[in-house]
Amino acid sequence: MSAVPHPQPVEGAERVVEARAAERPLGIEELFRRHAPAVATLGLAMLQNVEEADDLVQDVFLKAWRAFDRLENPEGARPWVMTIAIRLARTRLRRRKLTRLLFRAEEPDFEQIAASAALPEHRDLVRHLYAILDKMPVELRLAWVLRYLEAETVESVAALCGWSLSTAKRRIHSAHTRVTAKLNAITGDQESPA
Amino acid sequence: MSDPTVDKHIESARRELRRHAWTPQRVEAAWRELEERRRTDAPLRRAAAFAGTALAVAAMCALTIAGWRWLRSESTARTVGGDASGLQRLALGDETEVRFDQQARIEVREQSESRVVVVLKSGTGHFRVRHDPRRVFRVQAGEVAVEDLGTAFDVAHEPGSVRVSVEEGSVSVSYPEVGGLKKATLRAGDSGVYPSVSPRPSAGPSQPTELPPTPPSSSDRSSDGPGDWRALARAGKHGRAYELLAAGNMQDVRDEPGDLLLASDAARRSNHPAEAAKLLRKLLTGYEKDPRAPAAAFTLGWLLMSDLGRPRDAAAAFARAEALAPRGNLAEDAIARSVEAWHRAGERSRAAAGVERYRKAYPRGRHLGMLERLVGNP
Repeated sequence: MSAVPHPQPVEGAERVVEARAAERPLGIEELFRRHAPAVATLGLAMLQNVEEADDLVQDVFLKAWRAFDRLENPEGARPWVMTIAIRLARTRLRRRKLTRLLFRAEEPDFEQIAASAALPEHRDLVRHLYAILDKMPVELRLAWVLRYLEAETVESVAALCGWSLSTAKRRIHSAHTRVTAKLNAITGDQESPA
Repeated sequence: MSDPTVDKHIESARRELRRHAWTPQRVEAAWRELEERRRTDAPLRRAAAFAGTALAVAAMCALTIAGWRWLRSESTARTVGGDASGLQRLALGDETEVRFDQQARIEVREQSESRVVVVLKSGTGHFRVRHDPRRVFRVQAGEVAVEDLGTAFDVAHEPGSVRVSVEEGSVSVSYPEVGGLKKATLRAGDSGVYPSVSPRPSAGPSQPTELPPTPPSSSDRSSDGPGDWRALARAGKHGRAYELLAAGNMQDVRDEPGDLLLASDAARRSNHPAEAAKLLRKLLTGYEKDPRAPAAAFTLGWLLMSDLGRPRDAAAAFARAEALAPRGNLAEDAIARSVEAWHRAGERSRAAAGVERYRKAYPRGRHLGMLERLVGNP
């Protein structure tokens, strides 16, 4: 792999800094190519909007680029990149809720990601799930998406979101209880006779 | 504890996420965009690093200006009124405006002196733009981006496709294709239909290929209500939707692609495959040029093969799906399914010929292994 190597301070600090600066574009490009698809998927799972997920990728890697100097180990940068993504996604979700509250904006359109090439069966399932997540408090939504859509471990959810392990467990459990209850309510309603 | 209902929803959501996964071309395009943003971003940041205390003042000014612009853009974006034709009007200043009907969903994502980005989530918008070389005016509909080159144009965003029609001037359209983003220039009188998302393979060989959605037609929503089959079908209550349709002897289905597809969904999902097939045939007979026709043909093939036990007819339907969009995102699956249909019909030579054709068209296709096994072990 051609990611930025750890410089060895044998030729003086200035030369090391120059060497890192010269190699930096290669490093960030490698970082982007390796992790951008995962950030895009995470963004879509969190935001449920293709354009916003694309914007999120750009914002995440702009931030990563600016802070790339401070990254000690680009080879193990995934948690770092994902943490930035989660932080920015959280901000976007909160802003979205606020905007909706202040301007009475319309409900989001989940057709966009549920639609274009999905079987109607899948479309309905995805739409129901996203509608439930959309109504959920942001922290619970993050917890559930990371645990159940991104299949992260509880420990990983805690680390990525900056929570204690018990907080992560509590939020995942609370979110999953809500999702289960609401999905079962919807399914029951659909299966009941007219 | 595992709940089958929840598991089913999670699996569907994961499937959709996988379907939207970035291709190498998408990564490449995004990297170029990031480089561009970084280029414009870096000088500003370098200047900021040297500005010191003065910068704090400048930043406050910038914040004030940004806040003012934001407020201005918010208020401008809400300058909505109606016109004589009943269309809504959104004025974006400097003689630029968007007109759209009640069903269209439009959002002004960005509005500054150098760039205006309008997101058309669904429906049709008519854009009249005063061309300004210092400003980019972009309409984003799915992954299709339309940039004005001084013009008046319509953009219709339907599930799965975006139609662009130019009335005056010209526009530049970038749209997703198998090899990455492609560009086209449309001039006055031109129109084009583009896929709104990257053409992408479906989930796996054991599944039917994923299909474009049933789009709502413009007049659908006005009649949505508790007794309305369309509302019920969209809410996933296919059984009740079909009961209403059947009670009216299917007379309530309008002869237009959106309604026919929605009704066929309701019929198919409520275990009435023959009725669903009839509706799909009607669509294919009357609206072969519609962008949803390939998906309708594919669905018909699937119904004939899986539910109606007519593999020969199914093979013909899959062939038609491929013929209607030979470079569409269903083409690969259509060839694969036609092989399966011929195999089920006992037509081994036709199945083998289909595999050969598939191999030539998709030498690294994801169904190749399955098809070879199928033909090798009939």
